[in-house]
Amino acid sequence: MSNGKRILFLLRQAPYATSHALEALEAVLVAGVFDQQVSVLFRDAGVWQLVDGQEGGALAGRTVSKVAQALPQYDVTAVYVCGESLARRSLCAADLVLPVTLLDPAGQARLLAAQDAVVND
Amino acid sequence: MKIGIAVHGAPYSTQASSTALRFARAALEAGHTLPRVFFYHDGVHAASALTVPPQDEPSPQPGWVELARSHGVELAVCIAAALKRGIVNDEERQRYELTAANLHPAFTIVGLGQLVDAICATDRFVTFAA
Repeated sequence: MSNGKRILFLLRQAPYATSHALEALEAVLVAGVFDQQVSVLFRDAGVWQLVDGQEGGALAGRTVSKVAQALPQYDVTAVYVCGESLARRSLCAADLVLPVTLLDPAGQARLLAAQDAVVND
Repeated sequence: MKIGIAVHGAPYSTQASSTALRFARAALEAGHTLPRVFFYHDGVHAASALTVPPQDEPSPQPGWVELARSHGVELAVCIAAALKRGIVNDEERQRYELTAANLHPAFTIVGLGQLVDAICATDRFVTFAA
């Protein structure tokens, strides 16, 4: 079980409109403890999952950014964000709960091409 | 080639399950093997034994069941995603003291770790998102 596959999770959905973001993050955390080379790319509306100052309790639910913040504790340290997706929403890396690596489209293409498997949300 | 499939969209609400099924059939016809299909997010609704499809709207479920029976494909349903959505096998019915179970017998309830296992045990992994 430790052949160390390169697995990228692509997270593109807003944090609270559907259950997708939370469930997708749970899958990433599980993959992290399975001793694989797990990375995550947040893009499109998915970048909202990382924005600081969220309070999921107002919706009687979990705070998605807090789950995302746990990624490094599950050995998922390769966290990438689409720079254009951030800029289009007037966000920057300083608004996020985690240190991330910003990628341009060419960088994202290289990241995708380097994977053994990509799990789309 | 060994191919893994994840289905993330609900049948009827989205095309994900039907498209995944057609892809699975095509892969098997082309000589590939398909050890496991993993149902996650709203995709778990494919496992309900209580759906009543209208006659003119074919359900993907009989197709999934046929793949399991004829090709030994494991139809794996994520337990956390399933229980939240009311997809329950008899074991969970007893554990949570529910009035009924509705998991189709061709499907199996598994942990989320089986998603990672499905990725690791295959050469290609294809997600059918919602």
